[in-house]
Amino acid sequence: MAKTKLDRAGGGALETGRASGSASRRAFIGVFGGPLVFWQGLFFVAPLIFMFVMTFWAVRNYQLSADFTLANWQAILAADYAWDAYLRSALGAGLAAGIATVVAFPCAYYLGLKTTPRVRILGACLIMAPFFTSFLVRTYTWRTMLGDEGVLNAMLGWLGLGPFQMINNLFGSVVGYLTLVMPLVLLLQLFSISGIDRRLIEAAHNLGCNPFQTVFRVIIPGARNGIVLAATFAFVLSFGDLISPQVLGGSNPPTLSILIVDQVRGGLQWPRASVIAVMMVVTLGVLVSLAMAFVYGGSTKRAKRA
Amino acid sequence: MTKSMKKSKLSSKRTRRSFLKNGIAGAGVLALGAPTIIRKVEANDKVLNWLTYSGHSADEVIGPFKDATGITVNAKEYADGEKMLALIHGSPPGTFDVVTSDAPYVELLVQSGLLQPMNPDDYPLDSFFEEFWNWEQHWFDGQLMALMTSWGYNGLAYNSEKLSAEDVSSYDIMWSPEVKGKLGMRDWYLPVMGCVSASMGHKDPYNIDDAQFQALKEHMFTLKPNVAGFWNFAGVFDSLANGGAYVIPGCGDWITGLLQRANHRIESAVPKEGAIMWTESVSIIKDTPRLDAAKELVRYLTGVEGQTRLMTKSSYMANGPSEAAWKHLVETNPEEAKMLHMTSEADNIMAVLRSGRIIPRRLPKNQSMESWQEAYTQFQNL
Repeated sequence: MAKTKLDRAGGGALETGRASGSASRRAFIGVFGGPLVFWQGLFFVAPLIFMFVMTFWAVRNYQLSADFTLANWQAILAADYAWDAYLRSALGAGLAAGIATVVAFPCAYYLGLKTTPRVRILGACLIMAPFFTSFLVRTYTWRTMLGDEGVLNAMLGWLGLGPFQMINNLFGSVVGYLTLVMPLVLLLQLFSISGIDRRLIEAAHNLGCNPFQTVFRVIIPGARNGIVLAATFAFVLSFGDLISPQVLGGSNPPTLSILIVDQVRGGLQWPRASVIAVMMVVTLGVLVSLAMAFVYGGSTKRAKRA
Repeated sequence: MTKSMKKSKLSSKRTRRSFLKNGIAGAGVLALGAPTIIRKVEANDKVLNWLTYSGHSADEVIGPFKDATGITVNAKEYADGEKMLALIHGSPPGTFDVVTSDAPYVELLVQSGLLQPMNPDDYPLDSFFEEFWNWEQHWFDGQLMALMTSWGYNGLAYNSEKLSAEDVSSYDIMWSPEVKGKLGMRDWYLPVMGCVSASMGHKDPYNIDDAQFQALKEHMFTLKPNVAGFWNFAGVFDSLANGGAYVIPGCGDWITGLLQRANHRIESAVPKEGAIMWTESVSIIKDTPRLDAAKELVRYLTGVEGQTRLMTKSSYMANGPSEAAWKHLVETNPEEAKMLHMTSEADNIMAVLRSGRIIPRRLPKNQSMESWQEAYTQFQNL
């Protein structure tokens, strides 16, 4: 009943808006949408185009000069280490996205459905707390924890175990990626799980689902979009992260982001660095598009069916 | 309801209008203000723009200069030579008045016509060790283009609780099973590959032909089973301090001195095959409108006060070319002088330099920087 009233009121306001003329509406969109378009155009689209153009430039005497050469593409695409680094970056990011999704889910589930709103807000604040400290500082702290003579190995040593090599390898990088993405994945999952209609969960219980069946049949499908988007963001952030593979992975072996730095370092090869950056942007573009299609494509279909 | 809606519409209009108005006004202030600020800096003789290595613009280094002259130093700091080149080529002329760079890069700056010849009589060269009076990498066509402010060596840094001075007297230790998984690497190809090249007996490690370069690559690749990781400055520091590495090539007193200050048993050695020298040189940018202030800064940096402060700064320690400053440091701070091997004993660092075991660093001569970097990336990728 209350809902219908609200709907009606909303509809009325919209009509009034339309009646007062589309000019003000356009101005409204201009004022609120304009800065975004301007910002994205100036700081995202334009640099992206510039970066792509730069892949065809040349470096002479340590100075960039406009050119049209395919040499940079040939150099990078023909390099074994570039493809190794590509697969390595994708593997690390994939592991981070997968592990973060699985580890965050029980926590998000508990906070989203099993606690009082007050505890949920407190929990969300605690999830955000790591953002108060710089990521670089948190990463170096992990070195102290995971190093060969670090805190964790010392504790394992008391039990007569180890020492285990936990930094300067893929394990270290993934720990770094998880430090970076875990709060975000948790928050996104928490929001989508909190948004699930409780009546569906009650219905599932009433119809005889045990708690596990409820999770797999109701909660995961209900929070699907949030889970997929969170995992996608986790992959995107990890794939491009420089700090984790450098500080915790010890560049051993290097990822694409490290290659970008090294291309510039050894001979100011901005064009070759741009080639690698374009490879990364295209990969992430395809991945995000697929995720969006999966998430929103499905819902449009559902909407049509309804 | 209608009344309140009208009201809210009005107020939203007002906000929008004032938002637009304020926004335009704000942009106008910015547009008009920016050139004024820039002009102010341009016209002021008491301001100097200095492009230099990290840690140099701190008060612990140039505080006395600022106090004595009243000159404000706007420093832009960088961490490696390529970044410096990018900054200097990417900024409009007049952005910098003074530049501190690594000696091999002085040549690149001279080639680009960016430096102003200097008059040796303007500076306290007579207080320098004789070796640095006519430093070959600073003179071009009989003109002095740079003056050395700091130098040091990149040999082997090692954990003296795990390895002995005898162990690190040769680069051979890097291949030893003793350091398996404990051989650290810097993430910069230039010093590391210089050390590996020196280990193969090349007296001029960066001047090798293509066959020697190929052999260098293959020799370096055999190190990989021992390598723990490739680190930047902070990573090198942490790994030496916390047992992640027992030995790291391409390091010297400039880094281990800091660790000794924190009571770590980490030392540096110049292996018998020779260590690679690093240098920092100060130059004046061509046609600077603030030539007098620039000269003043160069005089300070090469004088006793500036030299002593550069040697013991907290960002990284350094040897200096000034004999007068060396003596001053030995008298006033013998402990730090010892960390830098700047003692009055016979085997001090100047003696090692004179013996030819510290080799000036150059840029790869017969191959491109890209191919050296690529070899290093292949090494990392193994």
